Amino acid sequence: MKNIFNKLLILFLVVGMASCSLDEVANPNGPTQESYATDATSAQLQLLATGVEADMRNDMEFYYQTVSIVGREYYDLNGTDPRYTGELLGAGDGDGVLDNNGFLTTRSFGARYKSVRNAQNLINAVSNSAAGLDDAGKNGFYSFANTVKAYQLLLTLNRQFNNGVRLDIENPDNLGPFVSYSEGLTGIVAILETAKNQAAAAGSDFQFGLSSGFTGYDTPSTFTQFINALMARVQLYAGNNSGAISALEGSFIDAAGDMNAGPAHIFSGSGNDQLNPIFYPETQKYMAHPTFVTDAESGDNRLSKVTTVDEAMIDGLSGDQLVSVYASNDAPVSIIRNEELVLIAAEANIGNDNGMAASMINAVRTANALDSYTGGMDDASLTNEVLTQRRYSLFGEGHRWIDMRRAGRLGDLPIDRAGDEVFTQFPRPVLEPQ
Amino acid sequence: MKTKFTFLFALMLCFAATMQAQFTAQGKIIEASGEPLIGVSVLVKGTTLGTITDIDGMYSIMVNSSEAELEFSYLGYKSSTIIVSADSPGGDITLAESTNQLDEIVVTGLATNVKRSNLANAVASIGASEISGVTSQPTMEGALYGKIKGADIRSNSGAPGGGMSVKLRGVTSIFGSQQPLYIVDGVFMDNSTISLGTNVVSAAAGGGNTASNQDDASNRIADLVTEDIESIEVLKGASASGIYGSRAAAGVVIITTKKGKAGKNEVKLSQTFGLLSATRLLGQRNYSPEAVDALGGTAALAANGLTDYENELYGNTGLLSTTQLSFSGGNDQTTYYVSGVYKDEEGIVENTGYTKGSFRANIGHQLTDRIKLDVSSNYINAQSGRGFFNNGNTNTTVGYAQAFTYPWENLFPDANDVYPAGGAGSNILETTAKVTNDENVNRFINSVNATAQLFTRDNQSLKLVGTVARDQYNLETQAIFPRSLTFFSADGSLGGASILGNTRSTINRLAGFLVHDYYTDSGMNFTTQVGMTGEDFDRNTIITTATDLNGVETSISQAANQASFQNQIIQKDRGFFVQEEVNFNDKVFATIGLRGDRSTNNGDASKMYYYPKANIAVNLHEFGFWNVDSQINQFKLRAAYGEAGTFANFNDRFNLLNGTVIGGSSGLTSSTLRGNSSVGPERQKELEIGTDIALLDNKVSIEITYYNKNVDDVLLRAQIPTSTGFTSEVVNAAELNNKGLEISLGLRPIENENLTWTTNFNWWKNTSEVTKLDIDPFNLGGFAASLGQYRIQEGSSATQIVGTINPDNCDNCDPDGDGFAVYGDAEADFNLGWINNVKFGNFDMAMVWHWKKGGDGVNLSTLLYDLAGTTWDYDDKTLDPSGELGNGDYRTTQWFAGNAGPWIEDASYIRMREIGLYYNISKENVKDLADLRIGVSARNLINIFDYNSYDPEVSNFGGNVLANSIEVTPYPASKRINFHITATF
Repeated sequence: MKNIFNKLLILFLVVGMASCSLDEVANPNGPTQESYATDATSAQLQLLATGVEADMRNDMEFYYQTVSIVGREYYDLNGTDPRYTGELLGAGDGDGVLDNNGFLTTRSFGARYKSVRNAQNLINAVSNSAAGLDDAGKNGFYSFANTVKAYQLLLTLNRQFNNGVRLDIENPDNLGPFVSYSEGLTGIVAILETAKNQAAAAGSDFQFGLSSGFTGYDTPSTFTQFINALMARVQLYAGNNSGAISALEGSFIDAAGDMNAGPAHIFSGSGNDQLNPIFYPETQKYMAHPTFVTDAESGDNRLSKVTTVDEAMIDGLSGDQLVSVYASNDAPVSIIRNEELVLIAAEANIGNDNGMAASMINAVRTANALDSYTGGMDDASLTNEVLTQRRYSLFGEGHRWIDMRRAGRLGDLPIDRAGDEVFTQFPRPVLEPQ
Repeated sequence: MKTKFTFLFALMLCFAATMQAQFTAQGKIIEASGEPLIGVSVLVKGTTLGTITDIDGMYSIMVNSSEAELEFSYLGYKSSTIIVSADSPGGDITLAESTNQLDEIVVTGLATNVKRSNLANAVASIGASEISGVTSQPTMEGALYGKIKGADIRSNSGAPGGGMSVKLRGVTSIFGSQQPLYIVDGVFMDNSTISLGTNVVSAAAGGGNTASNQDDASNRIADLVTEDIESIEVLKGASASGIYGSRAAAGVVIITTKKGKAGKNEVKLSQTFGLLSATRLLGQRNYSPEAVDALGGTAALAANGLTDYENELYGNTGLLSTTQLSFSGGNDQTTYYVSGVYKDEEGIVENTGYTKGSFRANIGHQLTDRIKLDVSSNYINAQSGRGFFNNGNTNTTVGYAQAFTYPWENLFPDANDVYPAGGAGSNILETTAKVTNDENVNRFINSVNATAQLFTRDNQSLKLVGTVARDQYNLETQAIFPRSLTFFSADGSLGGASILGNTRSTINRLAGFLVHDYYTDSGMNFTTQVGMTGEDFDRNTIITTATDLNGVETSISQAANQASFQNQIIQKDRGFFVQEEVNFNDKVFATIGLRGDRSTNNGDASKMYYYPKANIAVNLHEFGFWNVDSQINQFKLRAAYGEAGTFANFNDRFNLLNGTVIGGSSGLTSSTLRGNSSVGPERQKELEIGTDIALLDNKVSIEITYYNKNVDDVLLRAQIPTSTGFTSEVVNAAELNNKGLEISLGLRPIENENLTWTTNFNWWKNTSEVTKLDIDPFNLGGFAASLGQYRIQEGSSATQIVGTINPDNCDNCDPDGDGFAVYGDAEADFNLGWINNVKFGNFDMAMVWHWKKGGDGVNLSTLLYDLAGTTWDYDDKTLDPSGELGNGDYRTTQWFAGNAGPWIEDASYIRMREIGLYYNISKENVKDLADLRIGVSARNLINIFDYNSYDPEVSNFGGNVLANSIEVTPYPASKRINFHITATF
């Protein structure tokens, strides 16, 4: 019996010793999101803010290319993946579908929401930070984060259209519902409103730095011009012309100014930075739709956005006009620029002040070495002209398909092969529950 | 201290003397040759009273009764008992060498041993003669082929220096570690496969990644030299390995190295020379003039003629050499085993090879009567030149480019040693000649085991066992791709690459156990052990990649571009265990145990995970149902149950922030993997039942084992809604089941003074099934469904290989309508090992055959050869049912029509793994100089398989069992012939 007691004693001793607790081991390979969620220092907040800006570029080619190809602006004739010339162009006998689990659908969707997650992480980190920020300082971060959120959601909504978008992702375990296209636009307007109000309460300077892509838009007041520019685009999409015009008033629109002015994503080849993924060297056969050249007015200097190269042919498609919107692999990609704002002003004034609309159209025509507009001053003619100008001014920047859809004219986009079709929207990824 | 114990002992004896008669039993123990045996354990049966024989083989023990039974046991010899009494107090005993395994001692607990005859598990074990006695083994795992039932061993490539995976009793995890835990003399030995960083050039895993699992790196258990190994025990599943807790679900391989034997001072010099050559060369396509013309080679053929580049690359014969010098021996206090081994092996490809030097010193010392120290230390330096093989996306790996190299090309250097650019995108001869891709490891493995007898009584004893162990290595990998390579001549190329990797890995282990032995009067024996263990793991890998080299210079600091990659893994585990073994007169042997583990690798580092185990063995032959001269030597029924774990991956519990840069400023962004902060280990529950039967004076032995194991809480990377910002999440979302049968039959058909022949058949089969999957089925491993992949799907085998199909030319190939047809399964239908040993006078011979029946592989090498039109059987017409198309055209046509099937092939094989023939000359015949052993042996000499490539055993993705069996232009496998001479002084 004594034996058993002895054994039990030893047992308890050993168990007791083994019970000494272990300290958690931090991951030496990188910080965790949780460690930044509370008590972040101002240097840590800067890292998150830079991450928010940098990651907007992540997988952006999947947005630009899918939208441009469905909108028949250009084709991917590289032949490395048959889905670019098959699935994306609706190949089939009118029954083509986009795979709701294929990368054409999911890559852009996921990447844009990752950007939204980055923005949310920044908001969470700022609100619980130990950086000693005053309210103005915090509002600066919030304004930036919310603007990025709104912009990334808008890009997603552009592709998803009536399949809707999820606005509330704050808690990954309890995601908000998908909302309709119009509710989506309303929600994005609301986020931009919030961002604007936060910028207004952010003092004279941000407590963080942005890259040179935001030079000129990197204080609360100049950043507000960027917010307003995005607001103008969203209001236009929502059919709220007066809202668009009033937003433009607070933006950086300048009908006589540099058409390229506006904040941009920047690129470089150094270190872990990224290269411009939609710069296409000659070895990459991204070919403009032949009608881009044939439909153009002579002398339009926007034809410089394509370059004649050897003809590429695949899958019954061909092209010899290489897309050369961007001149090099470190050329910046505008987020929104003056030329679009001027054209928004033109479009939003149609039906209200057609003279103003025409003068805005002419500002763009002049900037691109064309004579003034000579067509009809009726709403329909002006709308046509705005669409044409947008086609050339914003070529390859992800607008054509959305513009034609807004105008209810997707049927006017060219079909090159029997059985192809122009999709109206991308399917909701299969893994997204309501 | 010593005197105090002696005093106590004497006191006890006096006390006992008043009760009972007593006498001293004594005698001498010798072996058949008359040599005294030193260190034989002598035990008074039913008590813990015991002693060991001294340097002259003498024992002397006080017995506290008028009559007693003494039991003599010694490793490698048959145990023997005698009855002694005051009238006949012992005498000389001759112990016979053991030829059956029943007497073998097997390590079951962390600090206790069990005789095999009492074991309740099917623990596989092999000894030195089977490990390295037949032929020279380049690496440890290679010595296990066919010998361990339930072990699926696979060579991932033929490159010198190893690269093998071991899978015990089926797939035990999907994303976690599937490789067993290796323990060498108490040291947890790291078996990582560290990326060589050559992906920068090969882009096998896409551009931009530094580390990749496709770069044909070796695994680190290969460092251990087989010549020093005394025994290997394999605990194949949780029922046996449960006592090792959270790391043991994939099994445990316990390796014990050689120790000196008291009294037998021995100097052994052993030299092996060998030759190695490719297992198989495929040969060339028999090009018709039309085929040459279609491939645009007519002019080149006229100018250059035909060159057999396969033969240029792989037709070489490599030289092998292994030298070992060892000293062993000792006295009754101290034993030593000191050994130096040097291996030098050329590869079949120029500029590749393997050299390994190992120095080992194992010292045992009896500090006092009660305290014994065993110190084991090993230093290893191993260097391997791996060559540049496997998959690539830049047409630069030698294997890949070879597929696209036509025999009419001229790839030879000109008089100035300038190579022409190869039409394949690179010149295979130039790449082979100029590229070096080396691993260099320096490793120290040390352990100290101390045993202290705390007290010994008549019927009980208590001992303390402590272990301090450390495994540390530094691995340097260096790959140099000089700028002068023709594939760097284009503008915008990498401009040469110099890749330097450095990994430091340390595993420290501390363990302490108390073992209590207790005998009851009725002859029962209770062994209780309690203990605690702690292990700290720390691994740090840095790979620096330099490209755009400074002209002919390969210095990293002079290169125009440098990039670094770092990965660190830190883990601390703490565990305790208790175990109670009950031995009822060797009739019934039962064990229950419990292990508790906590680890920093779990989401909650302070949470204890418990792993119970229980087993029972019943030796029916001990019950007296059969009389003593019965022909049934053993009839044992056994059942064992145990649980063990598999840790989550290091990063699984973290939501990481990844680095990024814009405009020169760095930032942090969300990772796409959503960590699971509550992640815990996977849990395996295994039930094993079986029987061991020995008949006809142990001439026939049969072992049958059935196991059924479930793995719960299998960790998966589930795809989650990407609107969360993440793409996948770590979840416990699956259950796996493995069932299997293991049967062995051992026979000694002939046994007389001149000739002994023993033969063993090992047969085993495993079937796996994904029994539960909470997420959608998913593909993994491989490249794409059109090229053959694994697919995890509820109700299916975990190792099924699926691919795309064209529904138009396949009826009902895809009953579940998921777009994939099942083309095969990597799991073998069964394995059969056949091991023979023949002793004839001074000759001995051994032969190991291994038949793997079934199990499919994805042969993407042939895909590449077919796409290039260079396949050796391109024009044969053995595949097309209509007999119209040649094999190459038929396969590619099938593939272009949407069928992934043409390259998913049966990877069965029959091999003569080992054969050895030796002649022993005893020293009397050579003027007492030395015992000599001379022999010739071979490894993988005969290989029979239909698989359409160099070897059916291959893996482009290293050791991952759910990605192997997929081949992309590997380093070809080889066979070896060795000549041996060993002198024992």
